[in-house]
Amino acid sequence: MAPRLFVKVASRTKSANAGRTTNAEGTANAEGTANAEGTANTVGSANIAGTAPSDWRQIKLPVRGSWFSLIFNPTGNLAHARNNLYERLLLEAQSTEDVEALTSYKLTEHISREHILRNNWARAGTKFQFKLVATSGVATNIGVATNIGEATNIGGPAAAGAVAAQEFVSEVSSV
Amino acid sequence: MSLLWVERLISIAVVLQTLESFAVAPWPWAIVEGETARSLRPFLKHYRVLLAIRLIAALATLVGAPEFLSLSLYAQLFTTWLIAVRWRGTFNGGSDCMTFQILAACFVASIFNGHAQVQTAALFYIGAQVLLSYFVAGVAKLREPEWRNGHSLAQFLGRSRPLRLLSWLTIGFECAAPLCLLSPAICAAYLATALAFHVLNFYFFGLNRFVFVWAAGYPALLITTIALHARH
Repeated sequence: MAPRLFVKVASRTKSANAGRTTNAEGTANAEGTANAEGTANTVGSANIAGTAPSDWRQIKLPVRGSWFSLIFNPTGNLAHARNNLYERLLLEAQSTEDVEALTSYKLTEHISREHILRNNWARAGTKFQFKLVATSGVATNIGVATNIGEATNIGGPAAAGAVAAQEFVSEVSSV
Repeated sequence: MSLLWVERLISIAVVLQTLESFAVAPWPWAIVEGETARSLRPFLKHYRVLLAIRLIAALATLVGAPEFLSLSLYAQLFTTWLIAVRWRGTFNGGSDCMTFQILAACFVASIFNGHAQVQTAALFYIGAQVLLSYFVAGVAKLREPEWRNGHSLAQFLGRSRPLRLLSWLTIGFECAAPLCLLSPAICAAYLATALAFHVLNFYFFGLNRFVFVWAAGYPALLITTIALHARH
């Protein structure tokens, strides 16, 4: 199944700062929790220093299904292009330490930033994070998480037969 | 004559793809420039110019000026490749790939215009691509337990229960592609089913480009089958 992109923006309240990665069952191994659907609790689940994060919100293109889109479907095809980008980022993130240097990372960050600004989820300069969540029926999983200032790759096999979740959480950026 | 059909159908697909591309902003150039080969940067920097050239080339092929056929097909081929590079190969990968394959075969055939054997070879090549695209996809699904037990398809369609029967129908349909070569009638029936299959894929997954690109290759597979049986 195609990876899904979520963003979390900082608000004014202070909160804890903890990195996180998911395992096959989609539960977090740090202070926060997250599941395969990409939802997470707010308290202590963010890496956004000195601020309380909002909930994770999914970035989704408004793809409308109509018969006209059989011949003209730019938004739908852009959604496919983005899915391919996210899959590539998940793949590339497994084989590099410097995730932020990846073009796929920069593009996904750009998409997140644009979406936040366009939808007035935050003002310019606000801290945000994005994460990618992919689920598949295949019982293999590598969770990837990054904390502020250091990139950490944490991998682990999924339980046999479980629906695997792969999650990538970005570094903190500014809108 | 049949290659003319393929050329025109693929040009229609390219026109539609290009019009869609005009409506979508590509990845920001400032981000992708760094990983782009220096020799390609002058071409890729001006994305809309690329699209305009591609659109004009596709329309020129459709209008059918024979003296410019090679040039217009080459322009379509080259811009298709550049646009794929500009999107880092991620804009609707499968249909982009088939578009390129068909255009490449048509272009080579246009260079050797008048050589019947090259025209036939181009048709056979496109026909083989179409046939193998289904067969390889079918075999790949057959090898996956999650496809065999229906979980993969259920997940794609957002269903909680496994869709085993529908999964096996899909696998069976795709693996049956070589049966097209048995007779032109079987081939025509298979291609009609395949077209419906792509329309369903569009309905459920929004994959509209596949409909037109694969349809462009169908005359080649049909003519290939007819030619194979005419020789016996």
